[in-house]
Amino acid sequence: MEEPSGPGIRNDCGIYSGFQVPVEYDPILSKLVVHAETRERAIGRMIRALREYVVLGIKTSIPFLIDVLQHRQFMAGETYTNFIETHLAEWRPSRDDIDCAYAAFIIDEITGMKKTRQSTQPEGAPLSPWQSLGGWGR
Amino acid sequence: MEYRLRTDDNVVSCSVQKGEEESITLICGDRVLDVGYSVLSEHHLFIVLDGVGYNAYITRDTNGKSIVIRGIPFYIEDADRQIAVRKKNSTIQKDITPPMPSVVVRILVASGDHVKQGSGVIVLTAMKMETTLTAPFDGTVTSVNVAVGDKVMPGKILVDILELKETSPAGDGTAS
Repeated sequence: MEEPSGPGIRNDCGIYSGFQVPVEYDPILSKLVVHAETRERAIGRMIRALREYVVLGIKTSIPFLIDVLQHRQFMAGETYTNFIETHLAEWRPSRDDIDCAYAAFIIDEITGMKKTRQSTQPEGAPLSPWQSLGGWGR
Repeated sequence: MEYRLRTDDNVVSCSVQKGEEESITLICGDRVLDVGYSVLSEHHLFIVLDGVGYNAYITRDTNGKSIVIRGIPFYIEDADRQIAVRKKNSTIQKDITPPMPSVVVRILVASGDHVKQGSGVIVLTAMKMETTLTAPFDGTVTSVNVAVGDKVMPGKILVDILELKETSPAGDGTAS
C-alpha cells in the first residue's frame, strides 16, 4: 500500500499493508482529503492523489472516482443527485494505459520479478541501506 | 517470444524482443512500443514508454496478474495457459445465505410463495448497509428459517427455495 502525499494532500489512514479488517469495523478505514486555492486546482490535486494511491490486494473505487472528477459536468459544478445515472450509467474503467499494462505483464514474466530482489545498483557498488529498509508502519 | 494476453475478454498478440540493458521492444496488436524498465521491488516496476515514465504495481494469482497504472487496475491473463479452475462453475450462489454476519430486516416471501429468478427474497443489514438477497432461479419457497431481528452468519440457509422444473408440456407446445 502506498499513500498519496504532497502539498494540500492529507490522508487520514487507519490501515497498513497486511492489516486484516475485522468484522466489527468502522466503515471508514481511511479518508483522503485534498485542498487547494481554487476548485479546479483541488480537483486536479485529488485526481493526482488518487492516481498515486496504491492499494494492492483488494478492489477499490479509485478508477470510478477519477472518472467522476474528470467529468466535464463535475468540473463545472453541475452535479445533482442523479449525476451517476445521467452521465456514468454505463461506466467501465478506462483502458488508456493498456499498452503499459501489457508491457508490465511481459516484463514481469521475463524478469521473474517475484523470484529475486533485483538490485538497481551498478555492479560493485556497496548495497545502500535504503534498499533493505522494511515497510514502515507494518 | 510470443504472448497472447487477455483482458476484459479481449485477446491481444504480443511479441517481445529483448533490447539493450533493461529495455525491450514490444509489438502488441498493431502497435510497436519501445519500453525501458527498472525493477524496484517484487511488486513495483518503473516503466518508460515512449519517453513517459509510469509506475506499475503488480500482484499475481494463479490465473493472472493485476497491474495498477495511474490508479487503474488491469487484470491480465496469459490466454495460452490452461487453467483447470476456469472450468469450475464456482461463482453461482444457489443458497440464500448472507455474505457476511448480518441482521434480518425484512422477509419478502412466505412458505408456499412462487418466486421468479432475481426477485427479492429477504433483506439484511450489515455495516450500515442494506442488502437484498434474490432468488437464484424460479421456484417455490418451501421454508423460511429466520425471523426479523435474527442475527445470521454466512453459511446459514435463510430461506429454502425448491427449483421449479418443467414437469408438464408448456402452453406453447414444447414437451419435456
